[in-house]
Amino acid sequence: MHAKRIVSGFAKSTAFLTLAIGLSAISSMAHAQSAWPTKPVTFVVGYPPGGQTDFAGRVVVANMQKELGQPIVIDNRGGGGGNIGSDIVMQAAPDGYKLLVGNGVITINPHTYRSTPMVDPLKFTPIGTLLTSGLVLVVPATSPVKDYKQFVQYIKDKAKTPEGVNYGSSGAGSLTHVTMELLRERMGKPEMNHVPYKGTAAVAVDLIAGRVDALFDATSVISPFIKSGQMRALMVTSAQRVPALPDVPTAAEAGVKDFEIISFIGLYGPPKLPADVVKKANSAMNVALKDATVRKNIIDRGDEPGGGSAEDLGKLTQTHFKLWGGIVKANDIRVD
Amino acid sequence: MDLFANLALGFDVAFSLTNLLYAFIGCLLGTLIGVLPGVGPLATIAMLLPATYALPPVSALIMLAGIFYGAQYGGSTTSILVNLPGEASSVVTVIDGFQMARKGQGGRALAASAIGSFFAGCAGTLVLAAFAAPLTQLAFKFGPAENFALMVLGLISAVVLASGSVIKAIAMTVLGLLLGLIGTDVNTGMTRFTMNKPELIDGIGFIVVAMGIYGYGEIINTLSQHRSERRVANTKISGLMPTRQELRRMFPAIFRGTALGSILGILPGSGAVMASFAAYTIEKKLPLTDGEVPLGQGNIRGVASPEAANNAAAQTSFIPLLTLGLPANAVMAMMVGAMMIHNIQPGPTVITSNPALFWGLIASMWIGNMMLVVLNLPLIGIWVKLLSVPYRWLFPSIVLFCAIGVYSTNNLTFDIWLVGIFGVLGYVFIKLDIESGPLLLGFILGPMMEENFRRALNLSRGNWSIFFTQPLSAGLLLAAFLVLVMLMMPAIKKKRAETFVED
Repeated sequence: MHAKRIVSGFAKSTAFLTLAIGLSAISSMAHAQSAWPTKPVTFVVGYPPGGQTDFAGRVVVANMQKELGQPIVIDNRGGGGGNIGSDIVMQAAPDGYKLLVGNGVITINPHTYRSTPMVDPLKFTPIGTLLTSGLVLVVPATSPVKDYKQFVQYIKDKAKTPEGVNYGSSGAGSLTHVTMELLRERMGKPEMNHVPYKGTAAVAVDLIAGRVDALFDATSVISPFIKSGQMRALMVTSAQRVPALPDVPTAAEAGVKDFEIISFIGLYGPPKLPADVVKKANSAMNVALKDATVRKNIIDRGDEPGGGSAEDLGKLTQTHFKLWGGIVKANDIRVD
Repeated sequence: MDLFANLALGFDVAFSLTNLLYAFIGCLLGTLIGVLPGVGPLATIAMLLPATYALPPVSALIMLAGIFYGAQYGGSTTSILVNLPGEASSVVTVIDGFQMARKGQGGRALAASAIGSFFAGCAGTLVLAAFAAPLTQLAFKFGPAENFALMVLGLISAVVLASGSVIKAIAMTVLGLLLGLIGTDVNTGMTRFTMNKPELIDGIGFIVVAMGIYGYGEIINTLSQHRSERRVANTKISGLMPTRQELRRMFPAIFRGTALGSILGILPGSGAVMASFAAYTIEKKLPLTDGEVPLGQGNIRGVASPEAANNAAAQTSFIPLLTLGLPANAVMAMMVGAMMIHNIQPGPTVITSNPALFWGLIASMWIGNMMLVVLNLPLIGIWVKLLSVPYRWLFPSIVLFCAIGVYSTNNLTFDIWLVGIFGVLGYVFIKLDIESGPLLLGFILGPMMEENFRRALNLSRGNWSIFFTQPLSAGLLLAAFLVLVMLMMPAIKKKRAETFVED
């Protein structure tokens, strides 16, 4: 860890020297109260480099460190369904030097993992939303279903045949799985068989080939298949239509009320993070997210830039935590 | 013909000075990280991805592709010289490559690997250019039942591949399967054999197992011998280039490897690994010519053929990526990420909407392969000299680099402990005279096989006929059955015994 810290300029401040000599941890906390940050900040990412969560952290780092005047180090701590990274920040001192780039999956994990302890996402101090992304409901292009209304009828009819209905997901207990369970509940619980896959690539092949009947997945990964005409999109779960798919209706437009589901990635601090640190970090994040290049990088990837207040992220975390708690219990989805 | 016009367009794009430069940087960087054990192309590409924002998309992809081949090539170097397979597909290269290095023929093995890779790379690129569009349909034909059948064939061949006792080979395959089961079960999401360790929820990484069993196991074994009897490497290096006779044996092997690799590379997931194992199996089954050492004891065919196979597969694995947007492995998934960042949607439209990019990338693959040969043939002398470093310096460096490489993926010290444990296990295997190849193959294919098997039954509502009613799946299972029969036939059994009895 220590080796990873970047010393940015020798004569940065006497405060830094004091720290480097390691006089006392208490003095560093006193500094944190007033002048955070006085040394490099670590963003813990609970996944290996390369995924969406890692991207969410890296995309804002350059602008945020300019704003905060201290380097930001990304620390990938993969494993445990993202929980290893979350746990590190949960246990960290509330001095603002270890923050979490947290995937919204932290609001699902505690419900689906029953014997492995998962961190309680409500205990984190929310700082701000980095990015959000909607899900899209797709069927194979060869399917006779053209819109959501036909979809409901088709599923209900096919569920009664011996063949039955198969729906794919990118993993048991993943957002793509629980979202379809929620929709199934709304359709009046027709018999639907869940077929989990490892990630999107494998399930995409089987959907296009018609081996599974339906799938929810992130718009960013699915839109190329829709554009190429191999899959047909029925609705998106975000509040507004997605720029990449302007012709696809939102859930509300398609006739499903209260079906706003997004995957989100937020910046969180350990419990009891001082308010002034939250405020400073939040404003630096918002400055970064307003930068044209940062926005372009996020949008080009198919996600939407986040932003907003710490309370917004807190509310987002709470509603999703409550929502998934209900769905998981009602459908007895469990991971261990 | 269209193909030539397209290739001309591609070379036009790739031969610009800047793109040549990026191809060179990528290959060099890739070779370097490939030579460092454990630091794989995945981590490197992830780190470099933000740096490519500023580059034009074609240049960025050319550089990333260069890293990918370079790393693959560099990985073979460590496999041959210090018994460290950096990637699943170079596990079999270790067997004969390291034996050759011990006999002082490390240079020849490296040259065989370079030449084999280059030829396969060229052929693979041609296949990619000519058949990309029609071959994509093949990938769609592979559902869970077909994937399962293919892996059954692969695993049974692995037993055939192993030298010595069939019982040991089966035991190792099963042990590999069991190790592969550690982690989260894809079908139910349940965690298995994790002993409540959160570090094990995502399973054990391939690198951890390979480094431990091959790298650390070999080091422990060497250290356990008295200095006078150590056979680290013959310091007398006999020639850097293969002899004319070796070349004559090598080339047909390269052809066979290339053909296998080109076909298997198209399949998502396990293509390159299966290709290299299958190529090795075939070489092992072919009769030896006069004066040729058996495979497993340092035969040049055992290096050239699997190396050709994995490189050809590396090329053709771009087919599902470029035409379907479906990444065959994690590195390819990063390439998709890179394309999306540059606002290119990979998928069937990429050939028509971005012809310069598509054909430019294909041309740059060929250039990258050539650059690797140009870069690496002169370097062979330097790599081989590495072996003349006294062992008391060499082994701590290998231990250290492995630890750094393993740590860098997840930043977990737990993984380093695991490498240690597998090192001890590897030492035990050497002492018991058991080959580790089947274990690795079982470890990689086991979880995929289980996943596909259960998915197929999930889709068919538990009806087993799904494996036999699909012609592809039925054909592959039949082939697996024939291999099994061959294994049991007494005549072949006798020949096995003759060939594989250790001296």
